[in-house]
Amino acid sequence: MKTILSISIFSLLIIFANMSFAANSTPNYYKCNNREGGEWNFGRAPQACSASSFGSDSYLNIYYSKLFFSDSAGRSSERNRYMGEIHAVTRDAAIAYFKKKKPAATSAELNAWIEAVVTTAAHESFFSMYRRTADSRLKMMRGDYGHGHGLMQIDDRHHYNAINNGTAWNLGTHYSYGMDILYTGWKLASNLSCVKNASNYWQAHIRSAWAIYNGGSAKGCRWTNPNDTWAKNDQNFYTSLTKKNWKSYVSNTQQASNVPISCLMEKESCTSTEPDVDNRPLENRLYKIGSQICLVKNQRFFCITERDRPCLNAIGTASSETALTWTLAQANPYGIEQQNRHRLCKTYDSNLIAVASGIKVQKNINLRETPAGGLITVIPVNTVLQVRDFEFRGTAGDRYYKVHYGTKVGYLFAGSLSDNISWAVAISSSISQASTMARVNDYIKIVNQAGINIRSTPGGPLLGNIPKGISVKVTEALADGTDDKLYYKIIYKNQTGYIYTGILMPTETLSEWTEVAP
Amino acid sequence: MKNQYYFAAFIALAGSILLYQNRAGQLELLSKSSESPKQKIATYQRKPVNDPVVTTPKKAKYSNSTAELIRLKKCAENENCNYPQIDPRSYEFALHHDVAQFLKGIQSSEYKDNKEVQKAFRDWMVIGNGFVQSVLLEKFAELEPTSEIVAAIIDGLKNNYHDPLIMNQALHEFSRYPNNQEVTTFIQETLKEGPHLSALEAAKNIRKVLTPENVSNYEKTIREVRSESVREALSASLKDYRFSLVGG
Repeated sequence: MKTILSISIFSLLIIFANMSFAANSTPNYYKCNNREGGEWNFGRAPQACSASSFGSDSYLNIYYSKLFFSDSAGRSSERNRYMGEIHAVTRDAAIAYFKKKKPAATSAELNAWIEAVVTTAAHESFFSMYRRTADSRLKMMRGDYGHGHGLMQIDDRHHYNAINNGTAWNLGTHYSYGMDILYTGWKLASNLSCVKNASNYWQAHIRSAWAIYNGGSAKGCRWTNPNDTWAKNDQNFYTSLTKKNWKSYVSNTQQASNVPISCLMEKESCTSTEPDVDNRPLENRLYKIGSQICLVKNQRFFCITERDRPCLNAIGTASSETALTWTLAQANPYGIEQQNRHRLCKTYDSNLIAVASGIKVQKNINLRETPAGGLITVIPVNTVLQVRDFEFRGTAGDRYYKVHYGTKVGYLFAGSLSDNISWAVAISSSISQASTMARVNDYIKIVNQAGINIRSTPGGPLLGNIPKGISVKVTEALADGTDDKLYYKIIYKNQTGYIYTGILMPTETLSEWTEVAP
Repeated sequence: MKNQYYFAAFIALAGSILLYQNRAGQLELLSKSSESPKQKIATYQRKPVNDPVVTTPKKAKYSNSTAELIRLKKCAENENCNYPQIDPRSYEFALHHDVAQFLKGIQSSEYKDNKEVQKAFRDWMVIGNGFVQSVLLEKFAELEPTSEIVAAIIDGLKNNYHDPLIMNQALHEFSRYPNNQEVTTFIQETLKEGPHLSALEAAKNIRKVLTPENVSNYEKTIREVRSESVREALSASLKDYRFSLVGG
């Protein structure tokens, strides 16, 4: 009997140990450091955990410092300040999102969408996101036993990748991701009978979209069934939708926001903009023209991609970090000089280590999914890697290098203008790691079906074509142009020239062109 | 016989204790202040993830995989199977977790020539979550391309549209359908008005589905893409592909 009991208990333990209902069994309060409570009120909903578990605090300080709820400030006035700011950003994010998805939508639909997003933020989290707590640490709101992250309550069990790569941590991409889910419900709601036949069409539409957000794609009409297991959720959302308690804390619902949220929903590096009231270029001002950021010098526009904004300091110092918005047609008559990022950034800081070069890290350095984003691993001191891309951030010249480390790809921080040598240095010795990017003296094989043209300069006059399958030795590797093209200098049939071998950004295509011999 | 009696009694007792504990746990959760605003005002509370939950995961040792997949589909439609209803998504996640596990265990010999199983796969591609879809996309890769499969993938992605990883995996599968008009239309729609991260993933990896015949269709789409980052990624990917056709 004793034996049977032991076996039975053991069997039960085994059975239950193997059972998990979650798609990803992240524990409660996953990666929750320095946990702190809060209150059931706007901006401070419990709990809060260190934001740095999923990205760099310095990045949040650059873009979102006005959206930190300060626990040390007077609670009532701070709540009013915070709510004014977070409501304005949420409203603008909703507008920016919808105009990209459905530019021809009626104003009634746009307004309903804004109401859906604002109510979701109020209902899911009391508009709570970032909070500077009494211990001076920057925290991020966590609900549902720590599984729900931030304002839109992105769940780490269901959206594990978005949590770990920092998508849910960065408010801009947090909105994008949350709204992507809500918008899926929005589109499905249009075809539901409970919406089409409703007397208050847009209210029904909002309720259905949220029911899908909360319960899944089959639950759009859940709110019409008072006997549904989760009817209470829909009733409570309806209360949030109709009572709008958040309005008590927002004195001006039209308050402007200075956070470039439309851009931050898509990119990590963004410049604040304002409309121009003057029709002539102002010396030393920044201008946003399409996806370019330009500095006016001697009445000419010197332009570069927005993520390389710090490199414009090589041309001159801007009088303001806020850019004026112009069109290409407005700027063209004055002359636009498109800058090569690799050359301009090297001028900005001669210590910049070029793409394809080797670097040796001088201390243990975090490897992140993006320059600011989720932590992948720590690269140990003295590791030698190959630079695959770079990025500057902020006024201090903080630089990040994209590297492959084993099977992982990410960015490492490598110091500022003043201290970069203590973080990473260029190294000419061979890099032991196998790579799709050749090093000097490596042999490469042409894999592109049409072969690859050999030219006298990168992108220059044609010398001939190297057929698929031929192997050649690389004597130089260099990245060039605004769109990060990679070229190899090679010798083929006694001709020295350059071959194109793909792009590095926004996605690497090197393996479509050449293969590095083992 | 006596031992069997004791064993049965023990199992019944253990089950009762567990049920009681679960109920007690639930009651305790209901009575304490909740963990998030949406839970605070809801009647039901989310149960901690590491609590044991009684589900009935099936291994792929069924002689009839089709019947099991149909049974699981009914579980999805009727929500009357033995899965937890402790938050609005718990039932679905537990069920789909089981479905994904079950699918993983089905050997290719069971579905390569079995139209019924393939039909069940397509049905689950439409209603399954990302974990189910990911397994199914691997299964589809082993089958001959058909219009039914591509239709199921497209319908499934529209229902579960926000996951860039699934989009990436689907692009790989779509590469087996060169110049398929439904695929081209779907990707164009995704680029223009799909979820941002999925659209960006499609733009970055569009090369997987490009052919000399369809590249101009995507080039025309660039002008209609309103997201700046998606437009830039699409433009760079298409330029690189055009270069490749003429040797760079």
